[in-house]
Order: sequence, then C-alpha cells, then structure tokens
Amino acid sequence: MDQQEKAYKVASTASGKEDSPIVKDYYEVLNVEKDASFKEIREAFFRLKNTYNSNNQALYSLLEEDDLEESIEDINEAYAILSNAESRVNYDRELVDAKIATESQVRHDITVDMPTTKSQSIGGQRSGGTANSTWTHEQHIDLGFVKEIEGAHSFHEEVSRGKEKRGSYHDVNAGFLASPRRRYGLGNNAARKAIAPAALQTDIQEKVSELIADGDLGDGNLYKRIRQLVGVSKEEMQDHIKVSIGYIDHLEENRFDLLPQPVYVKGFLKSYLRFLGISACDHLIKAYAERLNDWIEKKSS
Amino acid sequence: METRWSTRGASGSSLKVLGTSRTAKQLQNPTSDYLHKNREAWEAGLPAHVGLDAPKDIPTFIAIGGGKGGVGKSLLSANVAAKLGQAGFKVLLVDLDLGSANLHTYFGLGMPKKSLADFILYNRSPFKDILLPTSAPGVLLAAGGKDESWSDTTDFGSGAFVGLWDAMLYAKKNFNINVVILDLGAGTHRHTIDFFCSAHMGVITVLPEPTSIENAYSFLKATMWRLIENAGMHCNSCAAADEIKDQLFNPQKARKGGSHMRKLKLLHKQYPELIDHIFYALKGRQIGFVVNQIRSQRDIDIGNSMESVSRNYFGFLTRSLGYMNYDDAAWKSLRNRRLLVLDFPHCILTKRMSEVAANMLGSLGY
Ligand SMILES: Nc1ncnc2c1ncn2[C@@H]1O[C@H](COP(=O)(O)OP(=O)(O)O)[C@@H](O)[C@H]1O
Ligand SMILES: [Mg+2]
Repeated sequence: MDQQEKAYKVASTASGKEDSPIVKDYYEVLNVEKDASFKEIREAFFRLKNTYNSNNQALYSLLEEDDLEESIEDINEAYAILSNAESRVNYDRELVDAKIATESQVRHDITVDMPTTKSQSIGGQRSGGTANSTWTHEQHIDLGFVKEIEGAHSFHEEVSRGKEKRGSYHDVNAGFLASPRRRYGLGNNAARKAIAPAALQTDIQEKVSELIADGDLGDGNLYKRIRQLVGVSKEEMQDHIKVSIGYIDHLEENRFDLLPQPVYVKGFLKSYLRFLGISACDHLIKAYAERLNDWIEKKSS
Repeated sequence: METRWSTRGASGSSLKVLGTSRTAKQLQNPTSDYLHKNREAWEAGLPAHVGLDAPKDIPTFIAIGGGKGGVGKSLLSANVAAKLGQAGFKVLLVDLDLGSANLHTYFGLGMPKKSLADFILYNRSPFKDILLPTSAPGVLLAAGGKDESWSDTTDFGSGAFVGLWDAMLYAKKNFNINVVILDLGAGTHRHTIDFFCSAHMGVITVLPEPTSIENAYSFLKATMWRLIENAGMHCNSCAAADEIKDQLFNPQKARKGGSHMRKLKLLHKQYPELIDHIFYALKGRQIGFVVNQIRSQRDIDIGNSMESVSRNYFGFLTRSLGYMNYDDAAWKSLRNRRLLVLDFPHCILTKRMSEVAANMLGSLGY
C-alpha cells in the first residue's frame, strides 16, 4: 500500500514546530462541519450537552467523572468560541494555519467519509423513528478549506455587517497560552453566559415553537420571553449581534419611539432571532415591522 | 459502479420489501462505491489470517456481536438477513456462536446435518455443502454444528479460521453472495473479536441497562485493542503497538483519564506512522448500535448517545441503527417454527428489523 495514501491525518495533530501547542478542533468536538451554520452549532451543542451528562445511562462505565467533566468543558468551550462570530473567525484562522503547517508534512490526506446519502431502497423510515441521528461525516480539510473560510460564512457576514470592532488578530492572540476563550477574543462573560443552565433543556425548541404559535408576533415581549427561554442574556445577545443592550431593551419593551429606522430594526431583529436558533423568522420580522410602521403612521398623522 | 433498480418479474408486480407501507423495488447486483473506495482502509485493520489474498470482488461483512447471551443477537441476525434477502441481496448467514449455536432454530430448522464443524473441524465437507437454503428467500445459512463438537477447541489458534475466511471472501465470486452476516457468540473471546474487527460493519446489540452497556464498552475496548495489534503487524512495528496498548489499557502504565482518541493523538508524535495507520484502520470499518427491549424514548436515545460517545472516545465511525421493542411475536414465531419477519410480517418488531436493515444499507453506501 502506498505510504502516502495511508497517512491519515488527525484533525488536531500538532503543527510542524516541535513544541507548538495543539490546536483543538472545536468543530470535531461538536461534530459539525467547518461551515456549519450557527443553528447547526447550537443544535449540536444541545445534543452533546444532553449526551454528556452524569444522568445519562449510555456513559455508564466508559467515562470517569474527570473525563466527563473534561468533555463537558470541551463542549462548552467549543460552543463559546464557535457561537461567537468574531471569536470563530479568529479561531478559524488559527486552525487553518495549523492545518497548513501539517499539510506540508503530510502530503496526502485521505478522507474516508461515511456515505451521507440516505438509502432509498428500503421502505420504513431511516433511523428508527425518533432517532435523531447525529450522522455527520468527517470534514476533509485541504487547502480548499481556506477558500471556504476566506469566503466567510453567511453567519459571519450577517453579523459583522453590524458595528465591527474586530481587534487585530495578533493582539487577541498575543498570549498563546492564555485561555482559548481569551485567545480567540471572547470575553469570559459571554462564554459563561453562552452555557447558562436554562439553555440546557432539549425541549426548548419545542417550547419556542409553542410560544411563537400562540404569541402575538408583533409584540417585543414575545421575543424577550423566547430569549429568556433559550437562556440568552441581554449581554450575550449584545456580544453576538453587536447591538447595544439599550436597543435590545427598546425592542423587547416596544419602545418604538426609541428605536432606529424600521429597516435597521428589521436587520437587527433578524440577527436576534437567528441567534436564538429561529431561522424561519421572516413572518415574525414582518409582524413586528408592521406594528412599528403603524405606530409611526399614527404618530405622524 | 452503479446501483440498478428494477422491479422483479415481467408482470411488474411490486414486492413489498423491508417495510410494509412502501412498494419497494428490488436490487439487482447491489454494489457500494463507498465500500469499494474504503477497501484499503478496511484491510488496514484485518488480522493476519484474514484476506491474505482476497479477490477484488468480495461480499460485505456485517458482524453482530457485543454483550452477553440473550440480548437478541441471533434474533437480529436472522431477521435482518431475511429483510436483506427480500430486498434482493444474496445473504449468507454464518452462526459463529460456536458451542451454543442456535441460529437454525430461528428458521424453524433442527440442527442441520452439515455444518461449520464439518467444514472447519472435520474437513469432510466442502464449503458449498454446508450452505443451507432457508425459508427466507435469498438467505443461506451456515449452521454452527453440534455444541459438543467445539468443546475442546476453545483455545485453538486463529489459523483454524483461515479456510473459513477464504471461503467467505470468495463467496461473492463462487456463489454470488453480496452480504455475509456473522452471528457472534457472547463475550470477548479472541476469535469473536477477530470476526468483529474483520467486518465492514460491527453491530453491537445492547439492552437499556447498565450491565449491558458496560459489556458493550468492554467489547469496544477489546476491539480497539485488537485493531492496534493488527495495525502493529501491518506496519511491522509490533513493539510500538504493544507500547500503545499499554498506554491505553495497562492500568499501571496508562496515564489516567482521557479518551482513547485523545491518548492516541498524544502518542502521534512518538509513533506517527503507526498511529496514522490505526486511524486509517478505524476509518475502514463502522460500528453500529441497536438497542433491544426498549421501554421508552429514553431507552431509544441510548443508541444515539452511544453513537456519539463512542465516536468521540474511540474514534470509531459509529452509527445508531435503530431499536427493537419487546414483542410477543418473537416467541410466538419460534413456537410456530417460522422466522419472525415471515410469520408476522406486520408486527412492530418486523418493522424495526426493516429499519435496522435499511439503516445498515444506508450506512454502508448501498
Ligand atoms: N425484542 C424482543 N422481543 C421479544 N423477545 C425477544 C426480543 N429480543 C430477544 N428476544 C428473545 O430473547 C431470546 C434470546 O435472544 P437471542 O437473539 O437468541 O440472544 P443472543 O443471540 O444475543 O444470545 C430469544 O428467545 C429471543 O426470541
Ligand atoms: Mg445467539
């Protein structure tokens, strides 16, 4: 067998330099693709939080308490970094650098993907009924991946269109040994908030859907309730969507007089809802904008 | 290579395959590009006595193992085989629970006259003579043989199975067999693990209870151990493989805590070639989970959790394949001396068997 072909490269093997630290592959930790959307990352996070929990029978005898804690830490860390647009961009760059370093060592990098196509031959559902499969395939990392990142993820674009104060990467990264969160430019506060206990329930998505189904879509209070249900604080929201807490308050409390132009409000509400994992949000935005426009019309007449 | 579909029979009469609701088509000459592409990765983890000069075109091997006796391995093997047979696969079902072989019973057969014992132990039957037709279309059975036959052979070497492996690897060429299902015995005997490591997909059956889950993980650890050993042999670095095994398994030498995956990655610096080979071998096979006797959604979720936990811990490509409900139809069909999926084609357990079979095919790229 061809030696080069055999060389299967681990995602997080150390880069070229002898003692350079290993760059943890957070995508691997969360088991998501490198170009995963925020929603996918969030879902993966919840799924893993649900799996790596001391009440889960499925861990019995395999993981000691320390291991479990460490896994949970990794998952939290990965989520904290990948769910923040800015820290994700920083992290992606570092990951690419590490890959390029390894790339020059190992020329061929075999990926053995599992098939992703669902079998069509067979009646009956795939994946036994409710089994929500975490079926993902290994991400092949080659230089094509760099392009992908340079092309920026849609989520990044979406968010960084707002106020942008992306510090120089090297500033952020100066202390390589600093905690990963700091290293990738993520305040500790946001990181901790990102994993607020309330956000750990799996049936959240369902409850959110219920709220939306029963709620008044033009009422900012509904959005506040969703945000609280998902377990995201105003501070975290501010960090993620780059809109000040003041505006978040105004939006949630329907203080239309203090809100900016409707067109901005719409964009801001979209980022807000997407961050809460609600991607089909157009009708919500429309309802809120209508309420806002009504108010403006009434005021001017 | 392309998978062709067509309905069987000129009349165009549709067969209901692997599911009761959908009119299904039958596979003719089913092939998997995925397995074809991964041939070398699969070979990278084989024990020395398997596939020394295997032909290009081989059947797909699915091994059903893990756990103690009575968790449903044989029930699953027999019925999944029948489901695959209905879908147009030519299936060979091999009873490797040597010493407590009972797979024939699931087909309503008594102990057949010709069995693996005649082929392996007594050398008196050619392989084709021990392939018995069953009531399930497309399914041939190689029975285990009388339990006593195997009683003083528990510690014989792997060499005893060279002939069996040859015969199975050539079964595509000689008998047009597409899939070989290996029904393994309980426990982590060396031969059992060898068969499990050698399959394209190893399926672990668990019950939703701690004892069974613990067994499943011990089984996976034994599989890992053996894969490292096999990789060492392939790379001509058995000493390094021993060292790696120590680091992972020897309580005196192993560093405390951390998953196998993490330890392997840390050892990469020291043994780059061997560790790469181990990862390569890991990617050449899949591990599936089936939870039996589920009582609730929580029990079903165990399969999903085990999928992600063992992927992260061991680095196996894992897949939750489905679950099985407790169903009286299981013992009723045994009493009727008929195979479950043929006797009760519409019962809930038959439906589950279809799902598992479908997921297996999907995973393997069919
Ligand atoms: N889901 C189920 N519902 C009803 N009976 C079952 C189920 N699973 C297994 N059994 C029964 O349990 C017994 C042991 O199953 P078997 O498949 O022979 O176990 P193994 O091969 O793992 O030792 C058999 O009588 C089988 O019919
Ligand atoms: Mg059995």
